[in-house]
Amino acid sequence: MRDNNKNKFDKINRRLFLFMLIKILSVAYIIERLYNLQIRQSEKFKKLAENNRINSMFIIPTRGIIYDRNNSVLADNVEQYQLIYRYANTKDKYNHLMQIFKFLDIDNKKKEKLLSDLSINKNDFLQVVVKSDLLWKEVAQISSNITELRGVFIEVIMRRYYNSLPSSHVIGYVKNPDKKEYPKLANVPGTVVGKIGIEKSFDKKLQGKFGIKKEEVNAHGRVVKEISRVNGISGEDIIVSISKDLQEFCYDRLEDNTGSIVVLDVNNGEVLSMVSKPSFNSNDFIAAMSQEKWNNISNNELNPMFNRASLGTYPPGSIFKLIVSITALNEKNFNPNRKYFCNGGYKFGNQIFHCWKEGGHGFIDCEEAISMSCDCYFYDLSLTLGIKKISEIAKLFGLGEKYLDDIFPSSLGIIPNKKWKKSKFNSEWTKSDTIVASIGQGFSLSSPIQLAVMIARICTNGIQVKPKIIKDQISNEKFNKIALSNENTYTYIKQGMFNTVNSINGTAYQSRNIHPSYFMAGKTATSQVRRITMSEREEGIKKNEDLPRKMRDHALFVGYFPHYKPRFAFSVIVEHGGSGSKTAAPIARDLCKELIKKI
Amino acid sequence: MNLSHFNISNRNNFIQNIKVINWDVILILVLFFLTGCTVLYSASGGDASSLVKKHIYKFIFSIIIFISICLLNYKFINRFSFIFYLISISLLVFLTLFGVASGGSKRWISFSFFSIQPSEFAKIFLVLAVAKYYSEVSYVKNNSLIKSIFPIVLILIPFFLIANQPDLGTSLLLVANGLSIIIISGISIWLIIIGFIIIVALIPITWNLLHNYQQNRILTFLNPENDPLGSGYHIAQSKIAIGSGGFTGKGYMKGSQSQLEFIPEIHTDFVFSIFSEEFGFIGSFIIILLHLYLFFFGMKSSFYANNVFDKLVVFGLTINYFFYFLINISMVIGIVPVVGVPLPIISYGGSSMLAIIISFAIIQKININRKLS
Repeated sequence: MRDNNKNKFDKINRRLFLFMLIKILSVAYIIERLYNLQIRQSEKFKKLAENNRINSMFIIPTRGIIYDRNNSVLADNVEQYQLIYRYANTKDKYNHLMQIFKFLDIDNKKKEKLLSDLSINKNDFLQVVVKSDLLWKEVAQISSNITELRGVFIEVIMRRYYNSLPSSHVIGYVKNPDKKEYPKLANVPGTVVGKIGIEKSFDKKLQGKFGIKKEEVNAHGRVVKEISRVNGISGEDIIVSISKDLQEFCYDRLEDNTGSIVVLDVNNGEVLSMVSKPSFNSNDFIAAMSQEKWNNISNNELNPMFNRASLGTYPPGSIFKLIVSITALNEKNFNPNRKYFCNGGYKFGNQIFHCWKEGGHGFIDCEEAISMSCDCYFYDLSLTLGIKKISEIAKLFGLGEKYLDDIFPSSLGIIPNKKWKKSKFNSEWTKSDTIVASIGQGFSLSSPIQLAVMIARICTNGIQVKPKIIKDQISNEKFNKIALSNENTYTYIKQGMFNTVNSINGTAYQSRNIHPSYFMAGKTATSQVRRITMSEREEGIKKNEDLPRKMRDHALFVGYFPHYKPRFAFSVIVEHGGSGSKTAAPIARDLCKELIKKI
Repeated sequence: MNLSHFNISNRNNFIQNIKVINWDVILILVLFFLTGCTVLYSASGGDASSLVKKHIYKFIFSIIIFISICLLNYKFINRFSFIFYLISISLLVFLTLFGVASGGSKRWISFSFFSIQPSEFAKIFLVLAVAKYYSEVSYVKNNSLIKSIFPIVLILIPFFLIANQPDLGTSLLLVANGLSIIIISGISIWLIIIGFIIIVALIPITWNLLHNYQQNRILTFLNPENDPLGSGYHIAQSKIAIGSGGFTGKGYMKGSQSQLEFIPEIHTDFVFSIFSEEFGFIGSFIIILLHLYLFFFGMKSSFYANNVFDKLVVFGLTINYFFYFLINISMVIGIVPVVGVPLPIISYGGSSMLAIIISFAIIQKININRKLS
């Protein structure tokens, strides 16, 4: 029995050692694993721990403010509260978010999007902007229930705010950066980049320099302390040459029409006003725009996003007669005082080109042809001049060129000539083309800003004014002078433009009353957007009002003010507005009344 | 309680007791306790008022139990083994029937100012019961399966009760304890192999019995990259904490992972993570060596024990402690899934602390008895 017991002890003891061996091996294995973690891979884990601990954040600099020429604010920064959910990426996130939703006014689509974004997110640490424009009520509710909520942070951010709806095309807007376009900036929540206009072309200057802030955060995202901070540099303010008041005036004066008004300071080329109607609200683009709003903008057939002032092109119509006149006045054997007889039609070959005035203007000289806007006179004149010379003068006076193209995408417009037609249509230039071109119809197209530049160059006696829109540039930029053989050209043309408004036979005589001592000078144009057929002419031309809107003529008026010491040049385009003298000229008159305040 | 089992009256005996007591072991346990206090102080962000204080009270209570057991009559433990076992089973049954769930499981019985976790005690009383059984049948060669049926039943009853709480970690450790005693008691090596095969075969069935969160933990553990619910986050953070500690650690109370709450259950299951982060490889190595010393002590005590019951009891209690240690540390360094096993005495938690102190008290008592006889 004792033996048996001893045997038993032996067996137990043997296995006791075996177990001890297992224990030692296990302990050795654990030590090896620890060695691996703490010594061999230590650097890697130290880095991971630092990443956990330290949250590096960009400090977004305050975006520069955009002022108008009178220091009225056009684009400002306003405080806005945004709710951020910041937490370790655990399954709790869904519950947390549902809790947060209780206190917010968010539509279901946005909620679903947030939740699905969260489920895709594989980062260890989450940071999501739940709502970027908290109402005061929501801020109050969240704050008073903060103990129930996890990972909730309310932060004050600066949001862009735009003051001037008529200036939206000039100023542009900002938007959260796109991942593809701005791979770095897109990762900084709350940054914005300029999309069009001044905001885009001066984005770097307005943006400023980012600062960096390093904070120690705990697992729940709470900031424990700030470790370091490198402050950024605020963006620079920009002063633009436009006037907010004038923008608003022009926009309102266009009433329900679509169109554009451009006003230039002829002395330095500063753009005082550049309006394209209809406009859009820049503020709508900042936060995510609702589908409905976007549809309203993108499906609007009036196309509010289209900047008519620089991109819109219109047949210059009778305005082009000024170019033809300038060309003629510089011809040696041209006598402006020679009377021409207009009978209402100009026969060329077997075609008849009609004057706008049925029955004709009778005997007229060049000046009268301008102020009364006789078509036949210029039909005849253009044939003696030829399209080559006319188109060269047109270019000298600024047509067919892009202005401020780095800020606003612009159209070149069309100054047709032989070469152009050949390359475009691969057909020969005909004399009828010249006839049609002489009254700014046919192929000719110009943008409102080009027309304003043209007038600025005429009224300054040929100074090659170029528009600019930033106020703080060195203002005394020297412009070249256009070399014309006949220096009296300008006086003559300007007299014609003066008479257009102030002579009883002038096409804009109805719009003459401005001020007893300040006079406006200008040129009307009614540019056709359709061809009047022979049969139509026989039946009697339909009145504009009877036509569908799209077929109606554009109403144009270009001019400068005041006549004796020109200070402003402008162009007014009312799309499908009917006649230049009835629709556009009164707008110009009121514009000048407004401009008197600025002299 | 039968007072005759106390022998305080024998003053001579008491002084002899003190002389032969293993002070080295006591010293290590106290060291562990102090480590626990230190780490808990750091884990609560330098706040000594709540957790550390409670930890101290619990230790003082455990010491009183330790001294009481040392003063008990040696035969008391042997005689009352089954009674203890039955008491622990009835507590588990009570828990199943009347327990209040907290954190998704019914593990604690709450009294007014403290609560106990019966499963921790069931593990050591199971050791006593199985040891008692084998000591009774030890006169015959123990190589047949039939003789192991009873201890297997002894194991399975608390296993199901604890697994049902649910507490997978503790129930598996209980089975491991029981099986270890069956193995060491001399069962044929072939039966061990067959048993092993049966257990492996049972894995798929057990899998289906597991709760969802337990399945997830295991799946996550096996494939941390595929982590739909974020359970791998905790293991990853614990590994980062330990790894970033480096050779010498980040310094006391300077562990960013722990102080910034990246590690969950830092007071209990993940106490080793914070210790390791702040005291580095050196600190961890010392703690592990001290544990190893205790395992050696257990083996030595078992080896020199002069009867089967004592041998098996000492072995069983030591291996119980070993499994705590092995699973806890493996868990926090990502070798095994997170199953909720504390590191006794160092972790905050009275029941596991008391269970281990009782274990060492019994071992101590057995040693004293051997040395004095």
